[in-house]
Amino acid sequence: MIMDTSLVVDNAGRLYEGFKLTLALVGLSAACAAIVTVPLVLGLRSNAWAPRAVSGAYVTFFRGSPLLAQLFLIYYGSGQFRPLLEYLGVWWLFRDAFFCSVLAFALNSAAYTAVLVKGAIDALPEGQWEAAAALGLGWFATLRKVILPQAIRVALPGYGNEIVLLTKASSITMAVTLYELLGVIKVIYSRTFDITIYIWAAAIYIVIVSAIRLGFALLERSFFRW
Amino acid sequence: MELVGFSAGGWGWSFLSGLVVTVEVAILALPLGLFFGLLIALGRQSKSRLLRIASIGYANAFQAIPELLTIFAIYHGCSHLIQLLMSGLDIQTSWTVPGVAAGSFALSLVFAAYSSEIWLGALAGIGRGQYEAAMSLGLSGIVSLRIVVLPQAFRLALPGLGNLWIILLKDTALVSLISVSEFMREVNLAVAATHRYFVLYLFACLGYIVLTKISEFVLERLNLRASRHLVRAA
Repeated sequence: MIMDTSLVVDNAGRLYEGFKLTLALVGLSAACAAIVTVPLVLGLRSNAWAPRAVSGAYVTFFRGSPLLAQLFLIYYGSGQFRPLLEYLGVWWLFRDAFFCSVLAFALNSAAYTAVLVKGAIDALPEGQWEAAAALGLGWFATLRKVILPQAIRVALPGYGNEIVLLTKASSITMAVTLYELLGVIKVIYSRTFDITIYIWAAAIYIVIVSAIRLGFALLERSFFRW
Repeated sequence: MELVGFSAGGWGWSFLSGLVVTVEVAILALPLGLFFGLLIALGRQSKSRLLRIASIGYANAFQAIPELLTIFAIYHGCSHLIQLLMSGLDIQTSWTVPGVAAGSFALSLVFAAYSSEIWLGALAGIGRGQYEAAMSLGLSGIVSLRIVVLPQAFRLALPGLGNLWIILLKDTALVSLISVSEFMREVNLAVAATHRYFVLYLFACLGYIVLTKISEFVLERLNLRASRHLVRAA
């Protein structure tokens, strides 16, 4: 097949804008997800039933339904609470498709990441906690000095996968009028009816995902160096 | 409640038909996804270098490309191809591929890429002795695969394939964007007509959660059944 590069060259500016938006979506969502993950993991591992039940329900909800439905729920659903949101002074945030997308992605990704981190912590032998207690370390010191450094090594490959999934998932924001990379590509297609743009798109995504995987491979190496 | 009920003015029937289409799209993607995934897994262990590179390339590519891009590419690409073929025969047509077919075909391509990983792990879990025993019985490669290796590999692959099924079920929501009247689209239509955004989208999420919970229950039963020879009497 003869690949016509003019299609990409002509639209380079637009594609670059879309790429930047994808990057911003993924970066911001991942950062926010990391914050939400902390209380979730604590809840899932709690001895009290109430935090366990709440975080369990959260995880079931966000892992059991499609991200697209969650995005619609947050973006369109928030419109029904406009008076309340205006009263709270946050309506300008919920009116914005970018903010709603980041919120949906962060809440969704946090559910998956929390299960991942919980699994990594559970996988450590009980002796690690006991040894730390015998050394007189408090709960927080145990977590920071003993448990987390080991758990991160277990969770890191899975976390890399989660970031890749997040990058792929970010392509659905065109459904809420936010045109990131795939959205831009869809627009180019509907203007030119040239299907080779999809092959270019696939190549671009393969490069992005390969870069993420390479980054995590390097990160893993630095964690596994001993 | 009357919003999602089955009485007049309720959207119950359209939601139910949407759910049926959702499950239909997922089930249609399954046979090709499983079979093609197995072929990719076999290709990845093949002695031929070319076959190995092609299979690994396929698996990596379709795990990296967003599902939505695959769906668009198949949907528009197949329609384009058919119109091209038809115009070659001097028939002008604006016929497009049915969304259900394009959607489940695209999802099966993605499913194949992910399931090849599962199959690869399952095939690695079968001891060498099984292959050697099959060979010493004089079974050919394909027969030993069919009656010796696969029945055992299937049990090992089942939990992983179950997870992929649940992911597949949720990914079917994406085909609403190529206008397939599955559950998500039916909810969108109801929302457009009633403007009850929050309740209806919450209902949509819950609908999918019910589907995934039912799947988990059935898969657990299947797992128990597949490993029933390993359970010891109490």
